[in-house]
Amino acid sequence: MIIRQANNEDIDFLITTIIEAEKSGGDKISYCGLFSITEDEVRSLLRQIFEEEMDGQEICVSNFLIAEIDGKPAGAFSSFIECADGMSSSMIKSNLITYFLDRQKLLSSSSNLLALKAIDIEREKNALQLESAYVYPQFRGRGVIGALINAHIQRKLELGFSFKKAQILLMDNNKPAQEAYKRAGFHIAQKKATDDELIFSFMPGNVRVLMEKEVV
Amino acid sequence: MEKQEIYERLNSIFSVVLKHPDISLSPSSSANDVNGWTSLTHMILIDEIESTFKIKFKLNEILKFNNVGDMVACIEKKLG
Repeated sequence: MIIRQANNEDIDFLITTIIEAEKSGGDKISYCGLFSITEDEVRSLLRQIFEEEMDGQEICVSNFLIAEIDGKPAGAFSSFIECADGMSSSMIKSNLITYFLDRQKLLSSSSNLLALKAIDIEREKNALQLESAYVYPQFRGRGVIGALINAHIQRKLELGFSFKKAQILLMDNNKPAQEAYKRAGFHIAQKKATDDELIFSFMPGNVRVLMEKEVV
Repeated sequence: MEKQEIYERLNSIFSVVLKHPDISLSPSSSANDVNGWTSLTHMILIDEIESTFKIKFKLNEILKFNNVGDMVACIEKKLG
């Protein structure tokens, strides 16, 4: 297995990675339901955000590492340091989405956004955040996730970042991912649920989980 | 438009979007200290502000908004 830094030629693969990660093992792409947009429109939105190369959040080419097996991309994972430049990752991403998304789509999503707020979990400032992981089915069970996590931690330390914790936000229904993260040393630190039925119209579940591990 | 009027309009927008009737913003107000101002409500707020003042923020402008004072300065500049 080879782990390498993503580059602009990988954008299509990274968009697919994010979309598959968003599905959390189901078939709902949260961006589609949340903003009432098609998968093609999600791809276009993600491409525009990638082209900005804005650090501090996951949709940034240079924040992705790609695992290759037998010369083929097997999976990818993004990471960033929360609030490294002062602004939270969720606020940076909100600004990017607000800027690129059609106004009518944004207006029509306000009730969904308020419902989503109920399962919003705050990431810890200065902690390493791992986000948007996906491994192609044929490469699962070969330690791809663990290798990508270790590579991200090592890379960020080599870049001079100082952090004591790594965190991952995911949906509670994504049990296979939770098991993979547990094997990589993560534990569940927080859960947040909502009874608002609206959430099921655009999210794969109603419970969000924060997993974390200490970094020595 | 006077700065005071910009703040009044912002107070009104924030109160409606965040569903808190008595919001009184100051230059130092930020998502850290305004109840309900999260990354999710932020999207609605920016959209409402652009619509109310009939302006469009540039990406590099909104990414520099550390507080309401930054936002007001940008609105003032755009309104000339």
